[in-house]
Amino acid sequence: MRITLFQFVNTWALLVWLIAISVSAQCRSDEGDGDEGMTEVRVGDAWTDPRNPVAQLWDGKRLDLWSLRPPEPTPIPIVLDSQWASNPIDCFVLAKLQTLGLKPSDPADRKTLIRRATLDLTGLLPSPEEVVAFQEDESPVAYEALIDRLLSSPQYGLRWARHWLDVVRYADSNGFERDEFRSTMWRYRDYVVNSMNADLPYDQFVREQIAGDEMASSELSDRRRELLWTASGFLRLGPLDTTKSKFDTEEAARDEWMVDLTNTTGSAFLGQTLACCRCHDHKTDPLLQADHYRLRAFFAGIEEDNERVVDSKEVESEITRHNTAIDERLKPLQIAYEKALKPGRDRLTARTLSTFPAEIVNLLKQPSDARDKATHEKLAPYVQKLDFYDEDIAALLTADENPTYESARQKVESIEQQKREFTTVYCVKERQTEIPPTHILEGGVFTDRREQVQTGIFSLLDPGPIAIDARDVGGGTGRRSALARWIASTKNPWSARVMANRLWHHHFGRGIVATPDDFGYSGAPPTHPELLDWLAVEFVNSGWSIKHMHRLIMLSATYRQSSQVVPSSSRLDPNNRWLARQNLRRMDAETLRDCILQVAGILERSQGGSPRWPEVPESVLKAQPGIYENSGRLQGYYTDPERQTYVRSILLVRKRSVPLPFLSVFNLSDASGTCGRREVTINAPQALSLLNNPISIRAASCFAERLTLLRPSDLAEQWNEAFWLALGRPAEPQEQAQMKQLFQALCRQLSQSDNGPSHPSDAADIADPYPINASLERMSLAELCRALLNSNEFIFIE
Amino acid sequence: MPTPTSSPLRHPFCFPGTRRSFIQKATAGIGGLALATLLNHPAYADATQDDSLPLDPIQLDPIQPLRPRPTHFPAQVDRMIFLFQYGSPSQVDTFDYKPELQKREGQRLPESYYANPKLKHTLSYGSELMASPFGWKQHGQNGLWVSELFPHVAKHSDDLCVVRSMISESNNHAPASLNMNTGVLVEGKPSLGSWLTYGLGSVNQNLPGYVVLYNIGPYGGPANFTNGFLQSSFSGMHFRDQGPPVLDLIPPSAFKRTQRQTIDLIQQLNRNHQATRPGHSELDGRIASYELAYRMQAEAMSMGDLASETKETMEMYGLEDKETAEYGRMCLLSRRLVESGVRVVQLFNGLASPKDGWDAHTILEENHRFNAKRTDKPIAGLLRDLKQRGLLDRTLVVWCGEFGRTPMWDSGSGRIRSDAGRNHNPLGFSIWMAGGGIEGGRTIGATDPFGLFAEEAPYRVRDLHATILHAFGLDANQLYFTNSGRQERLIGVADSANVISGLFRS
Repeated sequence: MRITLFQFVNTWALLVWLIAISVSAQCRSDEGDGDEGMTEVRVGDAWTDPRNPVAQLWDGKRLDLWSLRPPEPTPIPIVLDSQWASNPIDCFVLAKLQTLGLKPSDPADRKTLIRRATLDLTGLLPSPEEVVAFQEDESPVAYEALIDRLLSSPQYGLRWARHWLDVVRYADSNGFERDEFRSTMWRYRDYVVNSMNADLPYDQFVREQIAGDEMASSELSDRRRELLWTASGFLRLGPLDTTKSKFDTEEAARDEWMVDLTNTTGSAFLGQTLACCRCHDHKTDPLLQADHYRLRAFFAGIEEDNERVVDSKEVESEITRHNTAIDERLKPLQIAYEKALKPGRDRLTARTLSTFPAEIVNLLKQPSDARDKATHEKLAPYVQKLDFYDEDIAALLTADENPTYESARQKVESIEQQKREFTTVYCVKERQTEIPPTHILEGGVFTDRREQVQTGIFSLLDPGPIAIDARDVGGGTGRRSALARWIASTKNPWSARVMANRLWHHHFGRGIVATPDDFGYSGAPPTHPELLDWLAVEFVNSGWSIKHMHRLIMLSATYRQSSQVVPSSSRLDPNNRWLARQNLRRMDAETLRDCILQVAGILERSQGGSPRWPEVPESVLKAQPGIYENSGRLQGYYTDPERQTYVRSILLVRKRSVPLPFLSVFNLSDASGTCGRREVTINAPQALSLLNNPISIRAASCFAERLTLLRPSDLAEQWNEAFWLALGRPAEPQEQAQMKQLFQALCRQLSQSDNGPSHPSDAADIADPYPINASLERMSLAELCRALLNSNEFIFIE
Repeated sequence: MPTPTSSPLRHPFCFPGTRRSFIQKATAGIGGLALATLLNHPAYADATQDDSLPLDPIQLDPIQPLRPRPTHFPAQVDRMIFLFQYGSPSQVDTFDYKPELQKREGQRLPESYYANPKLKHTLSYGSELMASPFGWKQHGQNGLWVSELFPHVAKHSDDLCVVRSMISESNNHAPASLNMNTGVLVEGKPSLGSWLTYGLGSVNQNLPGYVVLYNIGPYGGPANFTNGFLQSSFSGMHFRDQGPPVLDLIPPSAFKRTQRQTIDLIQQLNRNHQATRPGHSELDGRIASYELAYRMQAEAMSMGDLASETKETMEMYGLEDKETAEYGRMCLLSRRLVESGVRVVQLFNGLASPKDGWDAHTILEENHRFNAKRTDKPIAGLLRDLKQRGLLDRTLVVWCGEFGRTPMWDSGSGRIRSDAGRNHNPLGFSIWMAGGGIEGGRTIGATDPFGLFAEEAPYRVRDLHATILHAFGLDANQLYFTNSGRQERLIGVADSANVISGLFRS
């Protein structure tokens, strides 16, 4: 009964929609282009103006590419079986199914639905209580209420920020030889999480990332400016070779940065493969080589800003005052410290001088300002050798001298520790001097400059330079603000479509365009082009509300279908491109780890902050000498206490050269470029990892412990509870019988004393997974838990 | 947070293309009846083709992506051991004998060199020539020059072909390592081993197709041996030379005794689950993956069991000697792996110390003696062992660093002559290859009289890559994968490469 009512409400809404659409279509022709006033004697777009250079490419034929046309407010198809359709999405899908002779599937059962929706929106499992409540909820809007509840959960942001971080190649380190930790990059990650949770309009989200620093005008509140600077951390997310100055390769490194920004901007926001036109005109799309450089020119003025202080003026001056006062207190202590160190310094100096040639020692006796340039150069290596580390000096102090030194050192340290640090973020600043011109580079080689280009959007739309207004920006040239305004708008045919498709991709496991980062000729054509257009228009009209789109997609009957394969449909559509059912999807790496921790009852609900550093096997750290040879957080790897690392995986440190084994094996994105679609493979190393990784082992034993606390008395009840927690359902009688059989087999096995040959396991240094003298019940329970966490029912989203 | 109300009354898109679409719109008509027209629009016709993802020549079996695949043309070899010498050994102290350099010790590099802009960086670190401190001798029937650093390898000189004219694109470790291992200077591209296993699959389905060995890995870290945009099955899997060779291969002892029962339970749960969900190949795939994992566990464990080798074999690899044991174990493990059908084994020099490998900016003599001593006998043992087992004919052995070193001593940042070393030199360096099809006992290409830059028959890294693919029967131009709209190849999207000429026996 309630379904019928639901249907009714939606049919009515559909009708209103339809009327509105026809009205809007008639009104539109009067509107005209908003920017008409700006175009003077410019060359027009490639469709209308033969002088446009792109009109010459491919004889103009590629201009028919579907994605170059603006999304149109497509009329909603009228379909016969309106009983099935619950919103316009379904009309598009159903119309296509009907033309192909396919039938949509029934809705999934409620248990499946709440599990699917909860995993999709929060990346976690519904609790057994939530499953039962939803199953028993007789309200006609029970499902809508569920979606609304999930959309307002703070876990939503942690889930969907992860998808965006893939798109913008987020990592917490520089990569390359040293792979230094970017100690405040996480503030950008938190910005994304919070933006998602607040449903920050997507157009604003885009503008802030591309040009946040320019938008941070001094009239804004401190909090707002902090956010804007943080957002522009987007421009700093790519890999960076910090040895560039040492090896005279600054120019090359800057070129790589510019390439990275141009390519990422193209793929992340616009679905355009600008990497292809770094060296030549695009091989398949109507894009010029110049287009790569016109876009690059928007970034030509930026420089790294690694420590932008984002504290309010008051806090900033308070910290400065505080630290100056500490410096004052330190002065006498430092003098005492130097004095205590002096005997050691004298000894080390004498010892070192004795290894130098006599000539050098004599020269060193001259006062340093009396030396000529040649002498300075000659002495430089020796002077450097006389610059000692304090630890080496202290090693030469006698037992009598040492206590004085130790106490002086401790005093200095304890006072120094009282210093406060500014809150800083990674962002960019604009060059204060003249911005260097951008040239097209022959073959993409940065030393082979050809003609100069101006900032400009894709030539096919407008081959002229873009209008830049520096007056309306808080700092900088306004270049990136102009770019950001164009990207975050309907003046290009891509932005809204690309994002709508990204959202669809994560709800169905496959986008309407199956290549979410490539909307060009070599990408996949859309399966439902009219639907994609309709979604894009709807997205813009909703004020670029991402949550509106989730709601729309998830309330559709298309989304709610069962994932069961229907043989008659699968013969016609083996890959389910036309969506006669929902897809079966494997959990991604983070979801899997998070759900395992959740089921084990050890997931800490932290929302952000400095990343946590989980333990990584030594052999993984050793893969990168720059990590392994350095202790400390900046360049090395510093493991947090185990307990502190049981947070959502998005909060774990992402060192470019230390892939976390468990996540990597389940197809983590690699943070070197935009990754809108992760590969999904199924292989034996995954099985080994899920069986034997420390995370699985720890989780299985905690899960078992949790069960014994929840259901202390009865083994069968514990099994039942385990099924509820992991799979959202009770154990079937047949499964209870299988459990019992297996339990007995396990007990027999465990009671045999022979352990076989012993090898250290990678999970061995986890303190006993359970007490060594634990009962057979407890040990076998942990095994059963491990099996559940490895099961297909757990890892697949139906 | 409430979502904004949707108003479909406004057409939000206004940019140049719009006017045109208005015209189309007018002809298409408005309302539901337009659907049929839209669905049949020629621009959308592609969407009705069978699969919407671009097709590549290689279509992978989703359950067994390592299943063997045919070569493009007959191959010389079907497996490879790549001995990467990280930090970079000096060519003028190993395989590129320069009598002129030996004569001109302490002299300044001739002025003519300063005109070459490519030498700018190299020269900025000093221009005083330093003779090799090592003795040189000709070896084998063909009189190959090898310095005293490699007495054992020198015995195999009739099997080695030395290319003395290699060029790298970077003078810095991490980018140059990435260049040598993935073809480009930045992270994110598939490595040589990944391309080979992608192209050819592997012989043994119970072991990974591409294995890497190291104690300490190369500069740039795992980006040197990852799969990039290729499927993760082609990523280099690290095998340890002690303990369980693969990460997470076995459970902790508390769980070990019941492992088979647990896997049986998992499979039982999975079959229950699958019974009511027919038609999903992913479910079958995962069931199969647990059986494969069980077999891999057994096979990988036995791979790591070096104790099963004879005493003579262990002696041959230098396992009894503390100095050579570490590298020897890795060489022996390499042989065991290729013998069992692993396609590519890459051995990163990977000694626990000194930390910088061959990167001798100072104390060249000590550094090179140290590194050579630890690797010479194991490498010679590997060559001999491969040969006596009949494996050398089918195996390509490659020895190279990321670049070479300057014939001048490195006088940069406070260094003194008495403990001098050499700076990085990407402009001319030596590598050697041995094994299937390789014409042994000869050299290819030449550097200038001091060994600074490749003068005769220079070869870039991508030429080396094309050559290695060629040895495996693959055409570097034809081995590609479409990623983000580009047909990516190991030798670059738009570049071409030359197979090193004269390397293979004709």
